[in-house]
Amino acid sequence: MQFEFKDDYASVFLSGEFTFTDHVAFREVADRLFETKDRSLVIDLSKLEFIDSAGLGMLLIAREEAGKTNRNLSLRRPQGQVERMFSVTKFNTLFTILA
Amino acid sequence: MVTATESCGARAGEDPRFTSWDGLSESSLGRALREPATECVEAGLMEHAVRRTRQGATRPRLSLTMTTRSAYRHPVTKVFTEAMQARLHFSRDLRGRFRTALQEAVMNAMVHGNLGLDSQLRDGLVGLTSSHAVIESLLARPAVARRVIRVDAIWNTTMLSVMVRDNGSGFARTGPELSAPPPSEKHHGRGLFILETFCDRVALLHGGTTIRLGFRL
Repeated sequence: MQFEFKDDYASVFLSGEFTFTDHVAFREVADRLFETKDRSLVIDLSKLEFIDSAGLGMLLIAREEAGKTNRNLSLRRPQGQVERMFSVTKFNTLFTILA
Repeated sequence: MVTATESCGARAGEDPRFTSWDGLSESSLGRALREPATECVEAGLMEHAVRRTRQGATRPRLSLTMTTRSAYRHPVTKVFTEAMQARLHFSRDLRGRFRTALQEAVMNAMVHGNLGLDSQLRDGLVGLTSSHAVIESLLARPAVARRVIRVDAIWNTTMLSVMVRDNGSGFARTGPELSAPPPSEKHHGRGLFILETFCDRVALLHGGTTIRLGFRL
C-alpha cells in the first residue's frame, strides 16, 4: 500500500493494495493522521485497488482510535473490489462514506 | 520431477511444466508461474513436488508450493491470480472474487494454520503492531518459516476448484455458520464469511487444514 498526505494532514490518500502485511504502512498513516487537531479525518480510497479482511479490520481500528478523541473518521470514494467488500461486509453502515 | 535450483522457471532440458521459484520476489514468482507451468515449487521444498507429480492428473491445473515465510513476504495471491487470468481469461467479476477469496484462504493458512495465531491478537493499534512482531519472531525460526502452504487450482470447462492446504493442526468450527455475517464492529472474523460470499462453493476439509473453493466458469 502507498499513501500520501495532503496539505492539512487530516486527509490521506491510499493507493495500491491494502492487505494483512501492510500493518507498518497503516501504523504510519494512523500515527500521522491522529497527530492533527482536526475533528474530521478523511481516508481517500479512490485509488485503492484491493483490500482484504485484515485491511478492513485496520480501518475499523482507525475508526476506534478516532472515536477515543471524539473525532470522526470518514472514508471517501471506495471503488471496484474495495466498494464490493464494503457492501458485502456492511462497512458502509459503520463509516460515513463520502462521494 | 523438479530438482532444486536457485533460479526461476524450468531448467534447460527439463519438463517446462515443472518450475521452481527462488522465493525472492514477486517478479520471479510471475516468471515461474508463466505458461506452460503447471506446478511451481519454492526452492528447498522439492520433496513436496515429488508427491504432487506422482498423482499424474491430466486436467488443466496450476499449483504453487511455498513456505510460510514467502507467503508473508510477497503478494503471492496477486501473482497467482494473474497467472490464472492468463490461462482462463477471467471476467472482471470472477477475477475479483477469485483474488479476494484466495487472499483470505492463504492468509488463513498462514496465520491460523502454520503460525497458529489467533486474530484477537490484532485488536487495536498496539495489538496490531505486537501481533506482527510475534509473526516476525516466529518466522525467524526456520522450522516455522519453512512450513508449507500449497495452492492447487484445477479446472474444466464449467468449474474451477482451488485447494489451499497448510501444515497446521486444524481447528474445530464451533462458531456461527459460514453464511452468518460477523458482528459488524469486530476487527476480525470476516474471512470465512467473505469466502462464502465470493465463492460458488466452499468446504473446510481435514479438520480445517484445507480449504476448497469452487467457482463456476
